[in-house]
Order: sequence, then C-alpha cells, then structure tokens
Amino acid sequence: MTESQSPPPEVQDPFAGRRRSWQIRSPKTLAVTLSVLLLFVIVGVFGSYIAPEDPFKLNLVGRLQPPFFEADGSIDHPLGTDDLGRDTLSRLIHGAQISLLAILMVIPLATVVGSMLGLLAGWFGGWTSRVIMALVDLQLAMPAILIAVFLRAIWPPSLTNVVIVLVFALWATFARLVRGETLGLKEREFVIAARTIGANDLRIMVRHVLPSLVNSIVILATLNVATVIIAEAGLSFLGVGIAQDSISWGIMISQGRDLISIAWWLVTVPGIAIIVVSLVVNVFGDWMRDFLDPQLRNAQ
Amino acid sequence: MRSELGTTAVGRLLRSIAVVFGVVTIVFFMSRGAGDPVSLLAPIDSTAAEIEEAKDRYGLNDPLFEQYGQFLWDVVRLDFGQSFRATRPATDVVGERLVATIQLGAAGLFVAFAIGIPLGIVSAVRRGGATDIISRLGALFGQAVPNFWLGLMLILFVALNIDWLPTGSRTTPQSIILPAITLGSFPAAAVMRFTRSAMLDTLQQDYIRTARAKGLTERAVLFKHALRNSMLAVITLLGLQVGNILSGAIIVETVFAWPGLGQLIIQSIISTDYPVIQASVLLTSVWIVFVNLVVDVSYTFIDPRIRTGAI
Repeated sequence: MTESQSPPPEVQDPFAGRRRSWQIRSPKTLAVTLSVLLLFVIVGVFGSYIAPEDPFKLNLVGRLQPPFFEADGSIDHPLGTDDLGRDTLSRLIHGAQISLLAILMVIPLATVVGSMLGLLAGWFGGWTSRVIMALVDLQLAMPAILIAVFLRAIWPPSLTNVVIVLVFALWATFARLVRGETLGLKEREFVIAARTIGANDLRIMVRHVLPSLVNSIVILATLNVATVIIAEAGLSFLGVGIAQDSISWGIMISQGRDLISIAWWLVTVPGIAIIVVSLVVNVFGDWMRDFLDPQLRNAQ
Repeated sequence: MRSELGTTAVGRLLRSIAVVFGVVTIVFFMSRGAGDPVSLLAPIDSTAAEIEEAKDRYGLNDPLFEQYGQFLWDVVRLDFGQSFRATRPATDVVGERLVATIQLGAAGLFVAFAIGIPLGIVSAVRRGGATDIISRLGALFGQAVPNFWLGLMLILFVALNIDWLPTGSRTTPQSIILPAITLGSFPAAAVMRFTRSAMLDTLQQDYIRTARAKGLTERAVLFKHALRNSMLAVITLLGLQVGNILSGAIIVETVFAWPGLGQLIIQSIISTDYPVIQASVLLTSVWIVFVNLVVDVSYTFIDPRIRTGAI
C-alpha cells in the first residue's frame, strides 16, 4: 500500500522539520530508547544471573506482598510477591527471556520466508505470483490465534508452537511489501541494464533487486518486533502459547488476573514491562525508518 | 462497463472460494497430522478392537484422499459432527457463539473508527497542532498496549469503581461498553495513522487546489473533496482489520467473560472437543473471507478506477 503512494507531503513543507521537533527524533529520546532496549536485551540474555531470587521459589509466609513503595512492602521484594510468595521482579526478569527468544526466532524466519516469496512473486509474476498471493490471502483468512488454538489442541504448549504461529502470521506482510517494491524495481534502468548484459534471473534478484529492498525489509522487521512481544504475551495469556509452568509476561498476567482486586501489581507490573519494551522498540523502528529511508517518513 | 464489473466480482468470488478451500485443506491435514481423535478420546479401558471398530465407524481407516473428500463434503454441508461436550451439532454450538463475537467485533470496530477517523482528520488538517501531537503520541502508546491487559486495567480502575459498568458477562446493554473500548483501542491507533496519512496525501492533490481556487469554503473542500477521497483508503483498512478484530475479540472475551467464540475455544481445548475446534476455525475463516469479499466488491462500486482495472 505504502509503496504506491506519491512522495509524502513533508517534502514540500519547509517548516516540516521544525514543526515536528517534538517528535522522537531528538538525540536524547534516542539515547533513552537505546538504553532501555539494551537493558531489555541484557536482562533477556543474562536474566538467570541477574534475578535476585529463584523465580520458582515458593514462600507461603511472604505471599502477596505489595511493592516496596506501599506501606506493607519491603525492599526484599521490590515489586512484591504473588499468591505463592514468588518474587515478582525475578519472574519479570526471567519472563524477558521468552520475549527475547520469541523475537530472535520469529523475526528472522518470517523476514526470510516472506521476503523470498515476495521477491519471487514480484519478479516472475504470472502464476508464481498468483499462487504466492493466494497464500497471502490464506494467511489473512486464518488469524494467528486460530492456528494457535489448533496447534494447542494437537500438541502440548511450547515455544515452538508460538514461533510457528507467529511466523505464519507475519510472513505475509513481508511478502506483500517485497512484492510491491520488486514490481517497481523491475522497471528501473539498473535492472534493465543488468538484464541487457545477460545477467540471469537469480543474479539480478540477488545482486541488484535485493540490495535495494534491504532498507524496507529491515524497517518492517523492526516494526514487527513489538507485534511479536504483544502476540506472545496474548497467546500465553490465553493458554495457547508457551507452557503454563514456564515464565512469560503473558502467563504472569493470566496468573494474576484472578487476584486483580487484592493484588494489583501482579497484573500491572508485567503489563508495564510489555508496554515499555514495545514502545521503545516502536520508537526505535520509527527512527530506523527515518534514518534509512527519509522518503517513507510519514507513510504510515 | 457492466460486464467488467461482473468479471471483477466473479474473479474476487473465485479467489475467495480458493482461499476457503485452502483453509479447509489446512484444517484437514492439521487434524489428521495430529493423530486420530478416536484413540485420543476413547475411554481408558477400551480394548484395541473397540478402538479399531470406532475408527472404522468414523472412516479413519479409509485412504487419506477418501477421508479428505468426505471432509470436504461435510464442510460443504456445514456438518462437523456432534460436539463431544454439548452433544449437539458443532456447527450450532459455534454459530451461536460466533454471533456474540461478531457483535463484539462490530462494536470494537465502531469504537476504532469513531476515534480514529476524526482524530486522523484533525491531525492532518492541523498538522503539528495540539491534536496532532497528542493523538500521534496516543497512537504510539495505543500500539504498545496489549488489549487483554488494557481490559484488566479497565476492570481494575473503572468497572470496580462504577456500579453500572459490569466487569464481565453479557447481561445488560452496557456490558458491551468496556469490552468494545478494549477491543477498539488498538485498531483505533492504526485507523488514526491511516486516515491522517491518507488525508495528508489527498490534501496535496491538484483537485484540492482547484477546489480552493474556485472559491469553495474550506469546509466544502475538506468534507466534499478531501474526506471522500481519503475514505477510499480507509475502507481498505476495514477489510484488513476484520481478521485482527476477530482475533482481538477472542482474547478480550476471555477477559470480560463475554460468551463468544473465545470462551468456547478455550473450553473446547480443555475438553479436547475436536469438532467444535474445527468448526470454529473454519467458520471464523469463512466469515473473514466473506467480509473481505464484500469490502472488495463494494470498493469496485465506489471507485470506478478499480472497475476498469486502472489500479
């Protein structure tokens, strides 16, 4: 959709930069964004070493302790404990692992599969394109959640299920984007020139078309990261994601929901974690888009 | 002209049928790949012979392509067998729930468009103004908040404090308010961004300058010329959002105890109610395909360029 739009209006507006100065483009916001992102990655990778307590350690005496800033809270459990006395902060830190793992598996897979199919569809057109676009239509008709339900019904819950479901859900956006851009690139002089000197399809696709697509693909991949975080949490919340006895932010929310009126932090804390990480990832994605492709600036 | 319109519509219809066919095929092979439901569901003390006998009865020992043909035929007749739990046809069970889900989905969609379109328009017309800044920040946030979490927060902060807003169930008319807001918030951000960029795009067009140059009031320029043309792009978004809205509804339902498909699906997983799971996946997909078909076809009525194949 975006690829067919005429140049964004910003280009003609001399005051555009100044008017939009509130935006996320200031170096300070970028610094904050990058720090939070880095923190998330560090916590995700080294969580087991950072967490103050064993996230599975039960402590029935100290159950349902509120966070430290409330009257009954203590600094031993800065974010409180759940109904089994498990430390919320430690669980939160361990939960980051699942989010990070999901991102690291889903995004590359969806990107590669979607981009390759999109490239083939755009380059060859005809029946290749028709078949691939039919698959895109198919994806549109089968929401990820239904696939997840189905997988859950036939296999025990696991991260693999989540990865399969989310790759299935996301590849189509890449395919659509890449197909659209390939259609445009096909007519460009440098591609025609390459063909004139006798380069074959594969060589032109890999050496000439693909490099021109990298920016858009990277932007889309970044913008999909938050989707993965939120979707994993949602699937696990529903009980069709990862196993209920492992730790993920979605599972923490689902376990805390029945206690919502007596222990607000159990639901609130992991939710805020999801929001903060998704937010910085999206801000980073927007920034990447501006950085890599000034033309796309306002396309969405 | 008329025949062209006909061919486009027929083309879309054929494509939709192909998609439904694909969905059915995927569901079939996923089910069979999972192993046979009989061994899964047979009582623990049943003998091997009894299981074999049951498999024969359900046709599970037939060649795969025969089973596939049988499955296709069942789907055409909307016959997914009896629900194991409710001992009623699975189609009936799912149908009732699908209605509640679609109702919630429609309400959520309404919220999304009621918030997103006006904000998008104002943001585009007064670019850089307060509304623009606030709603864009809001959209940034809106796309980071998981809807099930927002629902729980609404229960915590709103429903528990306001008597007439229930925390769940589908008993009074106001029951739908909180679920609809929860469901609509995420797509509202997308609608707002989309409307804004479509409006900005339209406002740059020559015909808008012409409209202004011939002395139309700003109101007429905005509403008669710019808005109508931007809405074309927004309608596309409607089709794309239907799937998202339905999956969102499935999650939001479980938060607000809305008796729709979401709840049913969760219960069916727990009780391994196979026919119901199959029926829910298929009927939901068919519904999405249908709505997209309607959007596509109505699109060709609204925009003559599509009819003539210009875009």
